[in-house]
Amino acid sequence: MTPDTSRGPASAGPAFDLLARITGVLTGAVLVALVLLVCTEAVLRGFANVSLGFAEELTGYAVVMLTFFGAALALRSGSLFQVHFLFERFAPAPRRIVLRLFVVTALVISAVLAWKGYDLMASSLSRGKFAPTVLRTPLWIPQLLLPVGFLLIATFLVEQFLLCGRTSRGED
Amino acid sequence: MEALLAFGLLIGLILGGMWVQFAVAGAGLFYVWLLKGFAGWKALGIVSWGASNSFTLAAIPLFVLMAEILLGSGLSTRLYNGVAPFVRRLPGGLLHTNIAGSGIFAAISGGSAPTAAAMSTVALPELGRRGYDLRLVSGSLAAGGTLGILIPPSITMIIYATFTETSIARLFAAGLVPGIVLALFYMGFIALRATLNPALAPRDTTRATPRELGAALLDILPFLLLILIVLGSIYGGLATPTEAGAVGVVGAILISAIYGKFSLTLLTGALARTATMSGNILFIVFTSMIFAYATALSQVGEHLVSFLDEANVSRLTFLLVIMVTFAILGCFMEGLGMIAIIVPVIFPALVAMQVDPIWFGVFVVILVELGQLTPPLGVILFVVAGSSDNVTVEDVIMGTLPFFVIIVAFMLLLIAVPQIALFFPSLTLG
Repeated sequence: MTPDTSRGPASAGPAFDLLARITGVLTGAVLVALVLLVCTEAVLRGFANVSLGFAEELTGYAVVMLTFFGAALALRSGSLFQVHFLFERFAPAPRRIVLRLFVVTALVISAVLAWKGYDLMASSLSRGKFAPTVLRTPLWIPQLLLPVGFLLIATFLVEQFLLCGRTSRGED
Repeated sequence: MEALLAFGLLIGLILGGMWVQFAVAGAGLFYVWLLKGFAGWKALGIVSWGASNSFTLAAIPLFVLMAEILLGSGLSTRLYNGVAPFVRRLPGGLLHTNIAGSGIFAAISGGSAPTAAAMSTVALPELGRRGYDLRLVSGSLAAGGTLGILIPPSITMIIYATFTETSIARLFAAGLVPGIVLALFYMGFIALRATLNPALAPRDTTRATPRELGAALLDILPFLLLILIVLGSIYGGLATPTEAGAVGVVGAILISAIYGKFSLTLLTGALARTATMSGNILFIVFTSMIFAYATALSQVGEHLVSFLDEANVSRLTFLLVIMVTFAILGCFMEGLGMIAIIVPVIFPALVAMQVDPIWFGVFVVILVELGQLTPPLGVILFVVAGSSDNVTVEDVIMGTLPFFVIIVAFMLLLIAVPQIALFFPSLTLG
């Protein structure tokens, strides 16, 4: 599975570039924080038999963030896993149709999962749910990452759809 | 019937070229809808949260980052040069460096592609210049690359553990001996080929001086220390794999700083590549959890247990069927997705047949290795071929064929002697 770089322009506009830049910076910052947090916990536990008490909880939230923000970046960079060998055998016109179909399907899937993620977050908010940890984090805050993550992915899917149109105009 | 429709849709979407993650999620949503209607989607929020909020999965970005820092530092050249004086006089000469170097890099990297990339970029130009047979060189590099997911730490094992709730530390311990044995098999084959046809691998017969060996050891030492810290802390029960990964990242930064390679550009580049690579892997785990939720609802695993029981299928036959299935699917499906989709379905049958889940984890990882060497999608074939202009994918495929046979033979040996995998975890973790 190799990145497909044959789809024409990589950006549909500066707004998408800015969003990708912000996503990249946030994801990088979370990765650095993750290393520092887990490393501190490991050292404290290993040498002083002391635990921060919140490392496991925050690490879990970091993974949620990395899952969706990282996937959005992978989608944009064309490195999301994809099998190309049949797709590339299609003629340009049916290939464009299939690609648009895939983008729309992926948008519907993202919308469903964003909606379900929002429901979970709203339910946690209305019921006042807290994480059973030292921090007692209101669960709606980290759960907000689910709808936000899928909205981010959906935004870059919209970009793919726009790029698809530009490529076809270029080919026509 | 529902299972057939869902799996049919999944394979159709993947083969058609849809992003694998969305194909899995789409087929999963469809499967849940077939079983329970739209009411079945109510639990998706909590399934999504449970699938992504995981301390264990944090090991994936951390191990990816550790390898990316080392790879970005260009330290694979140092590792390669460090191993070379110890093996160059063997029949097969520097080809053994490809295997031994890959084995060492595998122990500080969670995946096969970084391992293959680390060694190929150094070895292909160097061995080509020295007149080695390029097919054998590329075959050894591709085979060495597969050690990346067998020798711990291994992202593939973390994902297997996530779906089967087995211990990652045990899986990491179980992969070590098979990884070393497989590497020795590769080296034995290289020595045999080179003895039968010395022109394939011109041997350097100059004896390394103690000074040269000392310098070489200094080149390898930081890597060995990092391996000791990362794997030693896991096997010794001092750290979880996630914690070992974080310590490993700091260790990788220190090594690259000691060699004067560390910079902000290196770090930001490694972070950017880690973000996309981890997002790719974590997102497939996430979407596969939705599919796994559907398979659990459908009880397809339990139906498989009944079917195998009624058909009186033996353990060996079942394992051979799994081997063939993975080999076929490996031709067009990504390895991590394969584990995430298939393992939840067959796991109840494995438990019923009293197959050790730790042993099976090693078995499955080797099956994924095979998939990485199988055209048209064998990712390692492309990584190796992409490392030099003088080698085509066809050369790599031809060079890899004998190693492919060795891996299959090793799997049969593993079925016959499961202790190859189970001995070390019993010794270290009880």
